[in-house]
Amino acid sequence: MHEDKELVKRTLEGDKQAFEMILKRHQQPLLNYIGRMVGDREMALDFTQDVFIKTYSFLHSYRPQFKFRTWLFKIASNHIIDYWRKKKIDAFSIDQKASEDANFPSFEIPSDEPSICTQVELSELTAKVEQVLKHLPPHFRELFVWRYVNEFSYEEIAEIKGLPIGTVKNRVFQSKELIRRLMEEKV
Amino acid sequence: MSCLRIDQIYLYIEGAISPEEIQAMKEHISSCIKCKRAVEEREFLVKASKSLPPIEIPSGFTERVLDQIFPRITSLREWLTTASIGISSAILAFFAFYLLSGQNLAHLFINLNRMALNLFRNFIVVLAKAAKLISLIIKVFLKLGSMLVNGLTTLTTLLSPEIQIVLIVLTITLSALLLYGAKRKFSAGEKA
Repeated sequence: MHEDKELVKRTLEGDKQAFEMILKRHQQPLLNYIGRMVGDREMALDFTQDVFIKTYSFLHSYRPQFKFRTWLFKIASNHIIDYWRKKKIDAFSIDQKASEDANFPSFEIPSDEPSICTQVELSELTAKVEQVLKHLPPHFRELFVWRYVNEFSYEEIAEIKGLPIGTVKNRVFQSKELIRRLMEEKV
Repeated sequence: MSCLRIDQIYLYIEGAISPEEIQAMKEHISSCIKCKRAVEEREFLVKASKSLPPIEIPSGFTERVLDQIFPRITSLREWLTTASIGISSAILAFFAFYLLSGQNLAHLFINLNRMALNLFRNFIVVLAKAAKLISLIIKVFLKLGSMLVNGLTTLTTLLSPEIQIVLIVLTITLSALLLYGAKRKFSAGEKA
């Protein structure tokens, strides 16, 4: 199996098939991420296409010391931010800085915490997670998707967003707990 | 150990703490129903989050993206191939007519002019009909041309530019040789 970096080098030398391999390898994870950020499959497919076109255009500026997929997802994240800025969608800024993180409710387990999992099958709970994910603020949703759908490490997420690992871990934890609380509201 | 905090529970689930801390938490969880339930709930939530299904990619999506990325290169190659074939064909047609008619170049142009003038003066109606006929022939040729271009486009994707140039040069040379041979045969016939 070819390494991404080797495929990038071959693409820059004019090998179209190498870029096709990059495309086939990353289109599914990228669509999984973009789809959950924009909430519309057709738009997500268009965005995924745009991201690959941008990636190809900027391929000469890729630096091999970084992981290719973190570079690719950084392009995707910026593409979504640009789109939202153009559309003036600014409910919760996706690139919110660490210092702006909302004051999160207590870390203590409430004594009357309702259950969201009682008598629920895994598939049913997964469907509920998918549902409430749409209501999660984008800067939390993005990190949640990267962590649990794309299965990125905290280090990779930190590299994409240019945030300290501690902030990333904190936000991922908060996103999980927000999802839980959104589900509690629906119980 | 006191009751766990929510952030500690997630660290525990991810195994992102020391074995000693894990052991201490395990001991607490086994004796605290509230913490045990909180851990189980969050373990299940994490499991469900990891099970989110992929978004289906429609068939032909990869090709669609590749077509968007590589059209300029393909169209430039197409254009160059079409132009080279067109120019080569025009040169060949002129060369063939010149060789087979046996006229000199100036004579050839004068004759063409005379013929055009005569046609314009005496056969306007015929010319109009001829123009109609020509337009029909052009349409047929354009269709044939587009078929040829499509065929060549397929070839260009299969063959490298170097091989394409070699093939074009070979075709021109071979045609020129054939015409030269034909010219000599006609000349020999005239002499005999």
